[in-house]
Amino acid sequence: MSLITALQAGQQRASAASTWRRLLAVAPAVLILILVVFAAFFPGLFAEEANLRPNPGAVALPPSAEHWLGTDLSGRDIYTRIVFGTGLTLSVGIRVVLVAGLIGLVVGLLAGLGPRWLDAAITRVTEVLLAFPELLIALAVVAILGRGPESVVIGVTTALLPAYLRQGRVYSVLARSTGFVEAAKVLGVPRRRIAVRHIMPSVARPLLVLMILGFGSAVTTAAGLTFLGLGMESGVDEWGVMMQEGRNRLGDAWWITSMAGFALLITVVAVSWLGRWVARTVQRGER
Amino acid sequence: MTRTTAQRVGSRFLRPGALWRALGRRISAAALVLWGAASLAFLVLAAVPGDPVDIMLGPHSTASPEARADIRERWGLNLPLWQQYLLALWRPLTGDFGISYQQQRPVTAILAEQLPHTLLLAVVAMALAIAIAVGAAAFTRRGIFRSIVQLLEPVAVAAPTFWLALTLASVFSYGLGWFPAIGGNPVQQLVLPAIALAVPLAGTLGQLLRDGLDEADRQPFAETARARGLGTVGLVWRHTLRHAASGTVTMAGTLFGWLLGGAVLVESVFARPGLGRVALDAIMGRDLQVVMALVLFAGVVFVIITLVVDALVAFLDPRTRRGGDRA
Repeated sequence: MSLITALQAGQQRASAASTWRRLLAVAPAVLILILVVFAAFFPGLFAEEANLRPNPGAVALPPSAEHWLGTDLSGRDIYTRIVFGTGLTLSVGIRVVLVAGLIGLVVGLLAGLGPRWLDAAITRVTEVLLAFPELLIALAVVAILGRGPESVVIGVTTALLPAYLRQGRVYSVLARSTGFVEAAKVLGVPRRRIAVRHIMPSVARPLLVLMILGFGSAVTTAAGLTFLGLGMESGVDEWGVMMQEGRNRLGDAWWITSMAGFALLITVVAVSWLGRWVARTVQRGER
Repeated sequence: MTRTTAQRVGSRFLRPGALWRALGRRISAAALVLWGAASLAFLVLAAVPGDPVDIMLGPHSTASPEARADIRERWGLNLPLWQQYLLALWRPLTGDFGISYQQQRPVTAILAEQLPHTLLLAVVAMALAIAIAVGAAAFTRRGIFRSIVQLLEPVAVAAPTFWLALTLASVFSYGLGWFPAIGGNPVQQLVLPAIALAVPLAGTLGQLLRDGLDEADRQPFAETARARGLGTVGLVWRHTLRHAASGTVTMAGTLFGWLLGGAVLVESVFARPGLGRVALDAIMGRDLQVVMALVLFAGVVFVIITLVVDALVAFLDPRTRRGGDRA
């Protein structure tokens, strides 16, 4: 075996080991997310639906062996409510990042490939949206559309959109001036094909990272709306609603607000952990 | 690289033509942003269902149609929409921000009264966030503390502001009694709200700063400095912090706008006065004049912050400066 092939073999072994280590680094986050996804789709596996019924005899009880996370103001078991609220809470965040990511992709491609005036117009509109504080945009939209999951999704998407528009535009403009796109143009590849085959992947990848990392702000912004009374309808099994319900009982029943918040915190941390891992992996792939 | 930094900065700013051109471009871009923001706000509020007169009079009013017509006349609500739009744009230029429908007071008086509370909160929170971020990123370059901080940062980023505020209140006001939930002196009133706003900011800025420092560490100049015998701390303070700071400063500027939104939540939790509550009431009550003034205010703040950030980044990172003749 020559020296060079020996070195290469060593390198390959090292990279295989580091791949394992990289996968291991994200394992806890993935484990948490698997649990969360299961709770969203099969809440019955984790808790009994019967405990969702109000129980006047067990109002605002502290955490105990019987009620792990305590009970709320109408005597419902908080752990059970958190489990059954997983689906609705997370679906809002997921819908927001999907819609925002898709709009960012399409508008970004239009800005990068369309005429100059369109690019300028998109840049200006993004700047105007950036000038508004996020939460105020979302508030205004929900104030117009009324409360409920759909208007929360629309409001939060509008509020968070500027970052996606900007990201989409930046990467499509960057991709436009790369060698392989120039080469495709010289070869006479049709514009639409250049857009889809050559530019879209370089725009979609950073947008995907932004979507995963942006999931947290989507969920927390939605919860903030609910807290201000302009989000989900009250009484729904949703983490933001649960946090809101306990706000006037901080002195004697802190667990009502805190527990749902912890659930949110753990989920968002796991998602952003995964997001940072994906970002690093994508960067490595590009290098 | 024969000229010193001072000369390079000077050469950019002392060439009068370039300076005026750059300034003119900046001002026209800023005016465009403000016009767009004001127009968007007007459109959105015009699309809102409901009669502003009802808002002014309250839900149970028994005012006569004549009185209502009188109010329409006085507020210009019977004009065609395009005239209302032009008025809404023109009046702020003359310094007239109108009168709040809800409070029946000049908008400028409301803003002047509430702005100091929010400004103080935002500035203290930002300063606290930057101090925590620099401390957490620059002093824990390696070892166990780095791991701890790296574990805490995502948690800080993910914590919803209002939940953090509520949790702080339940621990430190209701549990330990360190800060009274109601009353107390101004400093006591400021501590918990500022921390609640600063923690997510500090997490975001700290992560960014650490990534920047890590990247700077891999640059040849860092290698050179280490080869000269500079220790970890010296390297950070003399070289890499400055290299890493420009991205963090840009992010801090972006997040200042977020602070205004966060103030809505924190002021609501702690029952503090301030622009956040004014904004919330105005949006809920469709108080056009107040919303318009707030939009213009947020736009002006955004423009100023962008200017300051660009100047700071140019100062920190010479690569971003354009030559005087190209500017």
